[in-house]
Amino acid sequence: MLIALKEVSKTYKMGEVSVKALDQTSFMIDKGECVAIVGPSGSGKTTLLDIIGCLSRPTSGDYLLQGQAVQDLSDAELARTRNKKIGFIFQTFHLLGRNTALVNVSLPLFYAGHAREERLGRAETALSTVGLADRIHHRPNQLSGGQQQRVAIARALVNDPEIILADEPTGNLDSKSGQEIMKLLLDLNKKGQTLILITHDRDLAERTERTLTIKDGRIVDDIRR
Amino acid sequence: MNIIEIFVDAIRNLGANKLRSGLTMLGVIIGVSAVISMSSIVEGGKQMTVEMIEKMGTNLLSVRPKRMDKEDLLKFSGRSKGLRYGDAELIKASVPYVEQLTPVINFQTQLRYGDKDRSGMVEGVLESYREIRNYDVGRGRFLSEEDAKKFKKVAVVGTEVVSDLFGKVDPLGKDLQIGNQRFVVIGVLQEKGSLHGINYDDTILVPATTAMKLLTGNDTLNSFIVKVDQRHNMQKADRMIHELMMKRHDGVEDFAIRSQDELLRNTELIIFTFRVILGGTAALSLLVGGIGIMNIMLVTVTERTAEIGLRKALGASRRAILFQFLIESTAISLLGGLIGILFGVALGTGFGWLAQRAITGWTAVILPSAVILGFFFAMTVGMTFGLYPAYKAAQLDPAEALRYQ
Repeated sequence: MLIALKEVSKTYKMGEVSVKALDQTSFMIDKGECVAIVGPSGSGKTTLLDIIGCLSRPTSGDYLLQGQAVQDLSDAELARTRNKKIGFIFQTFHLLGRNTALVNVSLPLFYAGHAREERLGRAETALSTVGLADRIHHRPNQLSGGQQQRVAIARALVNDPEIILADEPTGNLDSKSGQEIMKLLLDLNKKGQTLILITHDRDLAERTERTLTIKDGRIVDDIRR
Repeated sequence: MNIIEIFVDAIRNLGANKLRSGLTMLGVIIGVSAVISMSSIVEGGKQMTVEMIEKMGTNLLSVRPKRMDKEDLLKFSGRSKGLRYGDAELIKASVPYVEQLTPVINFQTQLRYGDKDRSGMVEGVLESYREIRNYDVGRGRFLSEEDAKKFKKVAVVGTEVVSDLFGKVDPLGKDLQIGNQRFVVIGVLQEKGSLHGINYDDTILVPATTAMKLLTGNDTLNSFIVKVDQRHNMQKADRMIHELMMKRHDGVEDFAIRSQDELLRNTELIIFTFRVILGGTAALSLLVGGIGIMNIMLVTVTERTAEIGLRKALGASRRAILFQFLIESTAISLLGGLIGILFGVALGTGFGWLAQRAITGWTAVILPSAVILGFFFAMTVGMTFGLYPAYKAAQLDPAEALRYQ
């Protein structure tokens, strides 16, 4: 079992009121699965992404990632876990504007402590995997939206993570490049990469093997196709 | 993690905001260049003053009459005759540390050569005065022992007296009228400059014996100057002279002993005061520069919150983020410090160059210690004031930071 959430709750304090963003959520995801998590805005999607991505800890319940209880990890261990096991893809790409595609992609390897040559070599390989071998020295503002998201995918892949966690990866793209990005992600999944897609787009979710529907902080539906 | 890579990245980040980075650096630049140029000016002034004091003679003690208040005058009335020629002779004969001694009799009187006249300060001294005061005779000769013994009417004059009274005439062998006596000029002193308001070139030296016999008519001294053989004997000599003088003056302390060391010490105290004031000012401007760095770094951290969030998502630990921003603020002060050194050295050298032309004896000095101190102080300021913004960046919650707009 790659991911196991057991009665995970997350509560945010907003002044006097506390808001329950996740309410005793439980589910499991196996290695190699392709899962979409869908739900309207405010349903707890983002909070779930933060928990799965080790960006924050659950308030209560257990989150086991490869059998490791994430809620017990220190901040430094969480950072290391994100670095080694999670590859993030964001709606807004989140590339560093001052740096080239190559440097952007090599960033996770920098925090993993690899030497410069290895970092750049692996980053170049990752960029050719996403079809950008001829764009490695371009800066984000010299690339189209679709190309920028490819750079971000290369960055997510570069450190061989257990999970690719994509948050509305096509949200900022036109439909054609959106399709291309989606195809690229599904191809990666076919090669065995675990893929978790967070979206409010039902059509996108249709293309995955499994869809988890979240509403008011609870999983209300779990469909396998 | 590679410091050089982070540093290069930091410099690139600074380059992305050139005006802002430049203005932030300005505080450090001004601070460091102030430390260096100010210390260079103070040190130049110090070296010149100390050199001049030493040119006026070293290991000197001067004994002068002390002005007494009314009460003491009544109390000691008639018990002491004040400073006399005999005092000087006694000290010379009884204190073993005395290498040279000269009595000094000063008086203002009218001087005349041909149709030119002016008033001037005449000093009655002995031949030992030359060595005590480090006088060099430019032309002719200095006063001799024989001049004093035979009450000769001879005079050695300074260059300013020569130019005022003799003009282009060669003064050697000419008659100079001092008061109502005629003296023969036997020597001209080499130019020496002035110190603490005394012009050493506007001087007329005559034998002390002649001065007492013909000009003042008594054996009262204005002072006598003792050159002590060794520096470490200064205090012993001081104490011994004091003891002998007290005995001879019947327990009345109507004299004061001052040492050249005291003058040096006073000068050094003044220099020290200057250094503290100027150093403090420079340090203050560095502090202000540091606050500027903190201010800008806080803005930078806020602006780059999303970037920090992303770096954390990709696996940057708190330490890595702290380090990154600390290096950025250090880079600001490092660059500022280096530019400040260039400016400071240029300012100090430039001022020294000007001062050398305006003031004789000034030397331009750049203190390596000030350069190093200024630079390290700047670095410390950068790190200290960068610490809080960097800490703030490191503490950001990754999930919140990532979605910061």
